[in-house]
Amino acid sequence: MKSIIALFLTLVTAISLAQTRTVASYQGEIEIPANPQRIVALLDHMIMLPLYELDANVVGSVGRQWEGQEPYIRGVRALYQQNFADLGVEFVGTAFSADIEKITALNPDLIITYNFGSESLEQLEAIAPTYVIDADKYSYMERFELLAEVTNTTDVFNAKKAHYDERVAEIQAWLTNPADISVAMAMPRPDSAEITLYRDYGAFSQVANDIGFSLPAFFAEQIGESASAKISIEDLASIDADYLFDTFEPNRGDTATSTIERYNSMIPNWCEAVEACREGRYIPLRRTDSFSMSFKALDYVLAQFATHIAARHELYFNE
Amino acid sequence: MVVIRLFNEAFSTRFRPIGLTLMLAGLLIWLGLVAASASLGSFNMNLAEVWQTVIGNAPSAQHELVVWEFRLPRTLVAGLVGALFALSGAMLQNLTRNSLADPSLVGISQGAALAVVTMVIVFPEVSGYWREVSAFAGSLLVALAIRVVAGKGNSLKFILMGIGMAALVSAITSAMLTYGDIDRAMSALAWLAGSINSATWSDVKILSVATAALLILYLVQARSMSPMSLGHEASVGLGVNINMLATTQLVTSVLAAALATAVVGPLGFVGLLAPHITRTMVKTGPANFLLLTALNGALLVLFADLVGRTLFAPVQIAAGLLTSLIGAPFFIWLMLSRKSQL
Repeated sequence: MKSIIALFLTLVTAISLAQTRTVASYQGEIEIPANPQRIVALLDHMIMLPLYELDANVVGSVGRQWEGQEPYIRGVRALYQQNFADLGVEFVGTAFSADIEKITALNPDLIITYNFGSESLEQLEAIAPTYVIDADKYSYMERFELLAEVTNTTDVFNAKKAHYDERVAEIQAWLTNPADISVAMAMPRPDSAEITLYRDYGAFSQVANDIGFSLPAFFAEQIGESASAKISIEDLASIDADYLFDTFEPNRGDTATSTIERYNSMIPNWCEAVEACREGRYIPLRRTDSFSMSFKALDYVLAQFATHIAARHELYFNE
Repeated sequence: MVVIRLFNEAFSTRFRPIGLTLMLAGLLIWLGLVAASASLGSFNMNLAEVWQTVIGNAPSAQHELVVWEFRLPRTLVAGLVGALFALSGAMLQNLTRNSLADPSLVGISQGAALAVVTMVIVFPEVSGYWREVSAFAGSLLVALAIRVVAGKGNSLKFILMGIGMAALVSAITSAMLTYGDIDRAMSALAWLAGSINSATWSDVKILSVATAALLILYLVQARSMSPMSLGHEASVGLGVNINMLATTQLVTSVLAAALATAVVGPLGFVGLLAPHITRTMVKTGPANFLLLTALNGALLVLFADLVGRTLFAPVQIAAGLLTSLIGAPFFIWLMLSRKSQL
C-alpha cells in the first residue's frame, strides 16, 4: 500500500513539475513552468530578496561585490544576515553584468529580470523561459505580487500581505487624518551640491502611500510625474515636509550621522533652514532596509512611521 | 618580396617577407586565442568537448548552446570590432598626421554613447536594435560636426576640436546619467563600459560583411597613405587628389568606429594602440601595415574579452575597461615621448 501511495505522490509531483502555463511578460506572452524549481534572479534587492521571503526555489542570483569583500545579496544580507552559501544559491555575477555561462551551468527552468536589465534577452531566452518585469507599468506591490504569481508562491505572498495590511490599518487608526501629514524622502548629493527628492522610494513610498500620508507640495511640484527630481542646495529652505526622511548605508561605512555630515558639508547650520529638521522631525533610515522589495523592509518602515510619526504626531502636534 | 598588382595596377602593393611572417604569426596567435576563448569560461568544458560540439557531436544541449550561441559569436565579434577600431585609428592617424588620433579622442565614441544613453534613459521601450542604429547615427553626426567646425585646418586643430566636442558630448551624457532613473543609468553604464557579452550571430554577420567591405576600401586607399604622411604639399606634388582622399579616409574611419561602437559600445584606446604596436613590430608598406594593424586590434580585444570574462568569473569585467587600463598608460607614454611632434 505504501509503495502505491509513494508512486502516486511521485506521479503527481512529476506531473505538476512538467506542467507549464502562459503568463504575460514584458516581451509578450511566454510559457513558464507551473511550479518553477530552478529560478535565477537577475536583481538582488528587487528579485532575489522577495523570492527568498516567498520561499521560492532559487538556484542562482546576481549580487554585489566590493573590493576585497565576499559577494553578497543586497537586501538579504542587510535584512536577514544571510549570504549565498547560507541560502545554497550560486553567485552568477554582479547586477547588470551577469555571467551568462554560469547561468547556463545552473540549468534553470525560469530566469527573472527587469526591463532595465542590461543582459541580452535573446541569450537569456535561449537558456530558459525569461520573465521580464515591466518596472514602468507596475507599482512596487504589484511587482511583488507578480513575482509570487510566476514562482507559484501566491499563498505565501497573500499571508504576508494580509499581515502587512493589518499593521497599516493599525497605524491608520492611530492617526486622525493621515492625509494632513506630509512625509518625504530626500537625499543630499554633496558632489553636485544638489538634493534628490523622491516620489517613489521603494518600500518607504509604498508604506507612506498605503497609510495615506501626503507628498509635500514642493516635492509634488518639483518631481511631477517622475520617480525623483534633483534641486539645487540653494532651494533647501523650500523643503516643506512635516517629516523629512533620509538614508544612510552602513555597508559603505555610513553611520546614522552620515546624512547630517553630508548636509553640513554643503551648508553649515542647514538644519536651521529646514523646518522639519529644526523641529526635530528629520529622520535618517537604513537605506537598503527602507528601499528593498521585502515584507521585512515594509515592516521596518512601518515601525519607523509608527514611532516617529503616529505616536509623536498625536502627542505633540495634533491639537 | 611579394608584389600584388590588381585591376590594371589600380591596386598594387608589396609585402616584405618579415611582414608576411608576422601576419602568419599573428593569425596563429589569433587561432590560439580563439581556441582558448571557445574552451574557457564559467561553463566547464575542455577543448575536445568544444571540438565535438563544433563538428556536431555536442555532449549536451548546454554544450551546444554555450559554444554556438555564446562563445563563438562573442569570439568572432571581439576580433571583428578590434580590427575595425584598429583600422579606424590607423586611418585617422594617417589623415591627421598625428599619432594621437583615435576614435575615442575625436568624439566618435562619445557620439555613440550619447545616442545610446538617450535611448536607454528617455526612450527605454525602444528595442536593442534601435540602440545600435542610434549609436551609429550619433557617431556620424558628431564626426560630421567636428569636420564642419574644424574646417580645413591642420591636424592639431582637428584633434583639439575633436577633444572639445568629445568633452561637450560627454558632459551631456553625464547629465543624462545623473538626472535619469538610477536603474536605467546603471544599465546604460554597463553598455558604456564596452562589453561584448551580448554578441549574437546577427552581429557577426553584419560586422563580417562591413569589415570585409571596409578592408577593401582601406586597402584601395593604402597606396596613397605614404605620400599623405609626407604632408599636404608633398602629396599634391606626387599626384594625390588630397581633398578626395581626405574625405574618403575620414568617412571610412568614422564608419569603422561607428559600426564597432554601435555593436559593443566604446572600446577605448584600441584605435590608438594597435597602429603603434604594428609600427614597433616592423617597418612595412601601407597595405601590410593596415592588415597587421587590423590583426593586432583583433588580438587585443579578443585577449581583453577573454581575460575580462574569465579572470574573476562570474564577475564580468567589460573588455572596454581592460583596453582602457592598458591604453591610458600607453597614451601618457606616447604624449611624453613625442611631445616635440605635438
